[in-house]
Amino acid sequence: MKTGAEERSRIYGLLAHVYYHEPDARFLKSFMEPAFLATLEGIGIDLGEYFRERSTEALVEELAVEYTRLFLGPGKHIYPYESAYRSEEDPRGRDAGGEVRNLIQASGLDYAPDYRDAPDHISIQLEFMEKLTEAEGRAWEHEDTDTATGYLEIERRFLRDHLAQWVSEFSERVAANARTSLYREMAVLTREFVLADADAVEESIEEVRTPGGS
Amino acid sequence: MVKLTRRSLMKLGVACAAVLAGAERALGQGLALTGTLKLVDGGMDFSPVTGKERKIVPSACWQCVARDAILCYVEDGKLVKIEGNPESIRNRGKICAKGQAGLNQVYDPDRILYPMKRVGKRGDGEWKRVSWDEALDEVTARLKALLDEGHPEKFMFHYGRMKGSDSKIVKDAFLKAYGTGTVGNHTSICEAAKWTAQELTWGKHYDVNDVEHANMILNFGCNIMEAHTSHLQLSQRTIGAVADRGVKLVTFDVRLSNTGAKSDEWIPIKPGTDGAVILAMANVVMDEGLYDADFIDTWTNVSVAELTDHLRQYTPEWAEGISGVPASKIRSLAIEYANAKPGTLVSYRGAVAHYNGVDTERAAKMLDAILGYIDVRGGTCRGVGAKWKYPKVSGSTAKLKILDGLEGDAALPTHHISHRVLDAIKEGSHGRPDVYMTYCYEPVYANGDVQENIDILKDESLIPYHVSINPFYTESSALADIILPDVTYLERWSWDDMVSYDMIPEFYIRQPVLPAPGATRQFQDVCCELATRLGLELGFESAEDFIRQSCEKSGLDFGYMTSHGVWHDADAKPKYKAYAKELTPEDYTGEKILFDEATGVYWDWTKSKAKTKEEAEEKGYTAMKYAYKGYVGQKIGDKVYAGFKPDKLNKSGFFEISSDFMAKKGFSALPTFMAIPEHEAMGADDLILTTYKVNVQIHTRSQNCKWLTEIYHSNPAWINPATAAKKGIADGDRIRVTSPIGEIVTTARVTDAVHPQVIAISHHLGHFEYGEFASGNKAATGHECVPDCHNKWWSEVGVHPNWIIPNAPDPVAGQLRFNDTVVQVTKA
Repeated sequence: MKTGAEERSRIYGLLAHVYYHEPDARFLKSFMEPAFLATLEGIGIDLGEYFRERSTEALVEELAVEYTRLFLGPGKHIYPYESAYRSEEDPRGRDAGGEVRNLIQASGLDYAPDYRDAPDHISIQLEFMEKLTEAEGRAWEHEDTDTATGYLEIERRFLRDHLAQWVSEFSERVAANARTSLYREMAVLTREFVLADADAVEESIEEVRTPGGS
Repeated sequence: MVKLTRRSLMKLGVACAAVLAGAERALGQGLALTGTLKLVDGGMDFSPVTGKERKIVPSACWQCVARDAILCYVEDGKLVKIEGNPESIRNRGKICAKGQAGLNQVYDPDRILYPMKRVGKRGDGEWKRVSWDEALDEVTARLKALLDEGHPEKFMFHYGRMKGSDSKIVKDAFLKAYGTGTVGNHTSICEAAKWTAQELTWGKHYDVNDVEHANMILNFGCNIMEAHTSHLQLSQRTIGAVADRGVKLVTFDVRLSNTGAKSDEWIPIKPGTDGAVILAMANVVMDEGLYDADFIDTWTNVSVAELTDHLRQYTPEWAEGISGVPASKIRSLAIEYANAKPGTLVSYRGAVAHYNGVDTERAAKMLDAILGYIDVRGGTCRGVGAKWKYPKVSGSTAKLKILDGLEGDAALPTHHISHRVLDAIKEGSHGRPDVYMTYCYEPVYANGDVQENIDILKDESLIPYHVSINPFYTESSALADIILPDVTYLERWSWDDMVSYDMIPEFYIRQPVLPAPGATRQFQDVCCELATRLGLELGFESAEDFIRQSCEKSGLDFGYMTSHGVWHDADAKPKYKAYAKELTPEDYTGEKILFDEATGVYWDWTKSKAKTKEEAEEKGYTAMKYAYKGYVGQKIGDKVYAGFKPDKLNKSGFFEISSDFMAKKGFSALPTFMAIPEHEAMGADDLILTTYKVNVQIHTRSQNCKWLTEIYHSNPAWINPATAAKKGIADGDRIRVTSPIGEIVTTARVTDAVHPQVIAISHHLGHFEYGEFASGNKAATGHECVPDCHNKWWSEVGVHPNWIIPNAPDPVAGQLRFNDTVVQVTKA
């Protein structure tokens, strides 16, 4: 069975990168390659003329300001943490950070020693999905259905309990507040992709479990 | 509008990969996450309430003898969960229900927490709490008196489960330093016949069925999925073989066990006739020319011609007449098994706890040998366990000759006849112990003929002083004069060495998960104190010190062992075909090495009982006592090989299908079928009582575990519908089961899942002491309890079959014939 795990992994990887920190010149240069922008357009993501016309240097500066304004503050900004999207009444409590950290650590990964941000950051969650789908893809490559399904199960659990729970609200806030097309459009892609992927993971698990399925 | 299709996502994925590559973020390189993702079965756990990570203490299980590696999760000082240790190559992160219920041992509401001294008559149930000082003053005085009299052998130590360092500290250090060799075990109620048979054929006992690589599994009388001595190691590999590789599993059993149910075929067989079917299979192998001539000629002590001659009589048709298994089935399975290359034959108590158990096991090993399935990948292998090095104590011991039962009980009881020890004490012709100390041993409950065990143990004229080392108030400790409260396995220091089914030794330890509650003390620490009080030098201060020293001597880091629990050499290769290792002349030449012309064995005479080299030469390898301890190698042709190293018997290095030891004792040298006298004489309406085990209980020591007994507390007797109809018995009827030594009343479960000539009653239940879950009788001591320990909704305690099973030994090994008893069954 092929779930496109490897490709999904790259998309998660790119999105993780987008939210991890301010984009540097190397990333932007690569991002602005016409082929990539064309691919984005193919799925309805258009960064517009402004983006294409600016120099990399100018963009690095402007996007750094935008990133700071959107996610870091000072002042009113968008919290990129799951715990901020849980209400006081949520029966799970508000320690999303603890839950995400436990899950990540229990799967054999850990936070890099120099990582200082909260454990439930959007970028961390996307990166965790990147790793899971990458491992899943490797398992399919080795025709190891058990292991692949094992990763699919973790992906499902993580999406259902965490990422897919809050990605919509988060993305909508970013899209509404972004002043640059990059963050606005990436926020749209983030929401659409994560939600679609959550459905796709459910379907894949169904498929593996159906007798006669490969 | 964003349009995401499977196809566009693929394209986007590829494009994103290019962006990431351009950003010089290498594949697999993390942003904020490090480490390698892996799917593990456990290894971490969190409180569902607080979300906090639970503390892990790696240790080793001890519910049953499989002794798997475990992780114990502790939260706020409480043991809250036990899992398998994923680092273990043996149980691979799995643990069974019994292992998970280990919590119930710790928080057993009936635990004995203080030394107890009997008040009033033995067995009256009146006790007084005493201090350790008072208790040990009393025990020391008794032991000291025996030393002063020059009769240390009158101190008998009798253990049930005592393995690894627990055994080394008690037996090889403390008891050795003290000077008593009157040390009883319990193997004869387990599988002594199997072990003796293995010692007669391939030497050191313990077989590993390498099912993970086998192409076919023949199972004679083993409940692999529920109760094998290596339980999870074997069961998970068997399930893997069957489910993942489609390996054929065929189970011969008098009862449709859960293993039978998971097999490709369950073949009901008349009790005690497994040997006949195996011999007939061997007959087919020889007849059809499917044997491995090279293995037979090189490694065994018989020729193809001799085997063919001997096996000619055992035709499938002959076996059908004895066992009820169709000849055509025997023939087709034999051919299939011979072509499996390799297959492995699993055998256990269903096959060996009989009058003819030794020859059944010899036949089983012969069948695998003539097919060349011995010690090969996917075959039947000699177990490989960790070889710990540890502090040793020197000294000599004397013993009372009561360990092998009564005169004439058995010809070659290499594992003693523990269930006849009380009879031997009663009989008295070889003396009686003045001090009888039991350790994790339940002579009353675990042996046959329960009433006789009670009568003897209660009789102060036969046993003047009984010390029970026990965490629980059992049927046997109730008949003690003093009870020394031991810790449970979850508060204990030990190292262990169970065989590994990967054929690579695994070193592992057991460490206290929690501090010992009340005044309980690990008995191995008590031994250290007793030694000091008696002026004996052991060379270590405590069990923990012994483990530390053992780690050091074995080249293991103590800190690593306490944080991981297990260690194996990651570069080690599985130890198959150890027998074929060729020795170099340096290995078998030297002052101490003798060559024995008669057997072709090279041996080091200094390890035997020989006082001089001349004596050793004169008597020769076979006749010299303990010569096997000096075995070096076997000459075959002009080369010398490691061969099949002997244990307990001065066997050659050949795979001895033909045994001179058996011949000398009046049995057939080659494996044969010995009909069971009681079965020959049974009436048309009589039945054969068989016993068995289930997946959630161990034999004796698990029934006060609430979780387990909540699941299994009722053991109706299985009886076939045809048999029941003849006797007018309906499902659920009360029935009376009568044997030559007594009767029990139980409930009938009428089911096709049992042979028509059999009535099957599980072990496990029918305790009458031990605690509220096991017997309905609360023990005297109150104790901290898991939250639901009082939520007991059932009142049944089940029925114990041992009241009507005689303590009859098999004539070769002395194995208790648990599955031979002929009974009459009537409606009660």
